[in-house]
Amino acid sequence: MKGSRVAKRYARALLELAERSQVEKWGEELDQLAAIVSDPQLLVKLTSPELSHTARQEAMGKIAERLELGFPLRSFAVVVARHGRIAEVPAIAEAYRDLVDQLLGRARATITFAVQPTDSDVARVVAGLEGIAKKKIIPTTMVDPALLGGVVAEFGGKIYDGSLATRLAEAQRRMAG
Amino acid sequence: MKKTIISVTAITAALLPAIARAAEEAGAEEHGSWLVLACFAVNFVIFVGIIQYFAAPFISKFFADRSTQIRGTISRAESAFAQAQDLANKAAARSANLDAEVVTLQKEIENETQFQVKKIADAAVAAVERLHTDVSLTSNALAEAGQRRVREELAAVTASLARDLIARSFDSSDQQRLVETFTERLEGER
Repeated sequence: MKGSRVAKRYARALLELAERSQVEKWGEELDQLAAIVSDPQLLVKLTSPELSHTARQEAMGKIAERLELGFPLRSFAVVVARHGRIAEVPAIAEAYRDLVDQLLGRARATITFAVQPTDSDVARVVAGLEGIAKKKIIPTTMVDPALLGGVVAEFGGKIYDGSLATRLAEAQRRMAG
Repeated sequence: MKKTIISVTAITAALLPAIARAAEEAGAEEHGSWLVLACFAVNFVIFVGIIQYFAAPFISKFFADRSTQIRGTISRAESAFAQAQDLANKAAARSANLDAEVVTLQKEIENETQFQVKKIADAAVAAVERLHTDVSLTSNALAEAGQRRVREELAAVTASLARDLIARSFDSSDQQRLVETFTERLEGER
């Protein structure tokens, strides 16, 4: 979905409409819209052929209104519904995020800790990743006890693994020969 | 001329005995007559001459033909004998060859038998070696597989114990240390 050319086209169109100061805000609003639309039950109803074109547009407009999105995003929601691309909204949001990140010279990383991290732990890992990327890193922090200990960072298509689970698995593999 | 002389002589000779007999009858009272004897002698000579003259060529030709015939027969007989002798020689030679051939065949059969026996023995040895190798390889593979399985199980048990140990004794300071190590590694990758 991330690589959908349609999603990239819509994301690029929205970004080109936004002023520099608005891109972040629009991104957040787009994420809100995507989160609502991603609900499978709602998506099925919104994309159902039983729903008329007009009703679909009105529904998307009301959702945007209920989310208190700005007018540009409300219009965007209606346009997406008009072109039958409601199911593409999450991919559009992702593509928009990537484009904004590129525009602002930043990257996103998923950092998974074995136990709940402190702010300083997150900051240190983010600083390390920024040192590698030479960009500002926006972290998404997760906790996974299966790691046993340590941390795993996923960024730019690469995985930096400092978890005990992986070390233990490696030791087990070496021991088994 | 010659014929005439011969004819006259023959007639005379034929008549002479008659003349002699007449003379003999004339002087029959006397015992014997030289003339008669002479006449008989002459008669005999003439007879012999006539016989020789007329019969000799036929007899001579007959005997010559006969001689030729006998010689031909003898020659054919000799030739047949020679052929028979030749055939006998050939038969003897063939018989001798047959014996030699039998000996050769026997030798060949013996050699072939030895070869076959050697071949079977070699094949048996090869089969035994192959079996030995297969058994050795299989046993090695089984042993290695067993060792590997034992190592894997040992490693799994060890890992499980390690997980339990970590779960029991892992605290925030350990996590701090791991995060520090991780960030140092990230710095090392810059």
